[in-house]
Amino acid sequence: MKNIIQTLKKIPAAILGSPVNVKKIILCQKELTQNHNAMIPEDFLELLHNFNAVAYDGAKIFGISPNGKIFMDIVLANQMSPLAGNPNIVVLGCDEFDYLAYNTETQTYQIIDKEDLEVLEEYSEIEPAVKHILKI
Amino acid sequence: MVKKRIEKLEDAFPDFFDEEENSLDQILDNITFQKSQEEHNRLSPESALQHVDDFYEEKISETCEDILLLEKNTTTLIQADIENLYKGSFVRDYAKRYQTTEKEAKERLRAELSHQLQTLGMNCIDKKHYALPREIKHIIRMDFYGTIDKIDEKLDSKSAKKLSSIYLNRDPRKTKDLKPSDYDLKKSHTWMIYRQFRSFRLLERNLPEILIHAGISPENFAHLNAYDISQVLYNHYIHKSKPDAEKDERANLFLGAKYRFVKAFIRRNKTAFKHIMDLRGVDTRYTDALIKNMEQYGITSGFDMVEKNYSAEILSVLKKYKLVPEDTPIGAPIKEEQISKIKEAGLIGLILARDENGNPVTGPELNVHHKIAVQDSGEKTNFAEVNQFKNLCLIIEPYHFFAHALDRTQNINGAERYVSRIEINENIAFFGGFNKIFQVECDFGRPHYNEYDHEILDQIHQKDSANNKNLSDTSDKISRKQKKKEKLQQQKQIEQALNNSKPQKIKKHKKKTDETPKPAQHTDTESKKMQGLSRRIDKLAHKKDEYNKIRAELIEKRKQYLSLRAAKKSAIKTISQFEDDEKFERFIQYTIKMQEKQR
Repeated sequence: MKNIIQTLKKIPAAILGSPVNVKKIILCQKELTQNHNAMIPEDFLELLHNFNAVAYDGAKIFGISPNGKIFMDIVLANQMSPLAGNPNIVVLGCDEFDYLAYNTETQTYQIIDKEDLEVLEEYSEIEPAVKHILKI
Repeated sequence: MVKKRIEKLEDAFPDFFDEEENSLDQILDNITFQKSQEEHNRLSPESALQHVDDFYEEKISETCEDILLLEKNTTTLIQADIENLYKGSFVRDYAKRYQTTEKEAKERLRAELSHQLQTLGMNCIDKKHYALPREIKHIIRMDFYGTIDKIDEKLDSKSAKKLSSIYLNRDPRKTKDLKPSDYDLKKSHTWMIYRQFRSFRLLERNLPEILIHAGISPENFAHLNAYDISQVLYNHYIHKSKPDAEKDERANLFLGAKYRFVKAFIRRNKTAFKHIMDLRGVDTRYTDALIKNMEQYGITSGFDMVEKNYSAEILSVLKKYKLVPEDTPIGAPIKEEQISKIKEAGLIGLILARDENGNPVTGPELNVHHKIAVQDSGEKTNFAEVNQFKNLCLIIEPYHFFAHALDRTQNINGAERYVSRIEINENIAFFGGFNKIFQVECDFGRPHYNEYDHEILDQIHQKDSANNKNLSDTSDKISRKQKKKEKLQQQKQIEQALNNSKPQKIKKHKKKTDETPKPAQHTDTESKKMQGLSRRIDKLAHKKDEYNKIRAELIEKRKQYLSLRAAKKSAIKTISQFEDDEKFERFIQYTIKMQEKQR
């Protein structure tokens, strides 16, 4: 986790959100379960504790009600995606072509095609998954 | 004289003397107080206010600030509507209020939002969906970003399944003795799709050598899939792009379509873009830096907005860390070498340009948007069209978010799939707001690349290399002039070959589209052109004759003038010699006498 945080800090172009509020996390997790989506995994929450949402070169890591119009809310993004209502999946980011999601069943981070929802890549750790979606 | 001048002025400006009557104050009074004072008094206070509002609505045009404010308000409202549409609690409340089902409520909200966006120039349309094969999407991605992702070749990994057994069982020992000419790239259907993209076409020349090195025989190459070829390219280019990063997941291949588009856009629309950014209230320092980066690298973010000169505060800190020489004066420019040093030391925040409130200067996030989404491009036969400039658009956030807000895929009649997409005008190259003053239309016209006939080019290059070899053998004997002549001839040959190849391409294209080529018409137009040219040449020759005649006349007239001028000068001289009339009289008498004597 430290590596990805350091890497993001070093990229001048990356727009990094301010750390997330704990209250917001509880509300978000509640809303996700209400909408029949999976909950946010712990290591992703750790990332949000450093940067609540990231935007870099057209790619995005969603945040929990983040400040600033550039960023996108996880709950909203999940509702907008065709993966809304999937109890095993929570969408955490995206680029022009793919979603970054977490699958609670396989306990992996997945790169999923936006259109046909095919799983293109699977990562057991958060770092390569975030790197993949942000292309860093 | 003065009178005449005034008369002239009066004629030219008949209202000149009525200036007092039409003074600026009076004009304004006429506009603002159109109704008489009596009528004005009759109006009630409310109606008077209404009257003033109407006047302002009618008479005063919107200022830039008004437009920006309106734009910001509209975006806030749209953003809120989108959030509500996807917020379960809001939809449930809406359904309760209007006594409908949640599904219907959502559809209603969606329709309202769609209508709103339509009035603002973003049309949401339903159309049939043509899915793209996964392999082609993979190629489109690579062309868009200009990079190739590594595929994990470990047999148990998920991505290794994409690779074919032919690729996995490759053997470099078997291809050791092969030559590049042994490979017929046209035999690979996959590579024919790859080469639809200009960037991959440019790599084609080196491909046979890469294949030999990778251990893929010409027979096997024909059966490789898109992932196999991308992995071959990845293995070759990872060492070139990042020699020290063996573990790197991504290899740089070429400048992606995304970045090429940004470069092409800013080259054509620099001033318009700058104006829009100014209108949007973006800091000019940011705009300048943004434009510079767009021009140089095709990037719209990822650059440091650094102060141009050292302030006393900056210098004191930097001198502490010995990052600048001790004698650096206040106000000295911050050089790029020093910026990189400061960056390495982790003190970049110190020299970042800041606004009035002390916050680092930032600007809007710009993204490159596919007008026709990659997912919906399955009906295209030339897949390179997806990433062509006419299908791309530079868009500011949150408008990019709006453009995808109503994306939806739905199944109708079982197998048929339809999608909802927001469409942006095909000529728009920059979308900086709903108001048209924030948009830039740019017709990139023909495709951004020229298709060269590689066969002809290869033949020419082969000839060139052969000629060069011959030349190098006898280089000592051939003079410089001869070498130059030969070079010129070669260049002419290439130009001729290229010129010949272009019309061939057009003919080929015509055959594909029209099915009925018309060579007779082509020759007619050529003969007409020739006739027109000959007429023009005749006319020019005639004009040249006329010009020569006039020139000769003028020369003669000048000669006459010069002789007359000389005679006048001599006469003046002789007259001036005789200041007195008596002397002049004597001189005349003397000359007469002399003439008589002569007789």
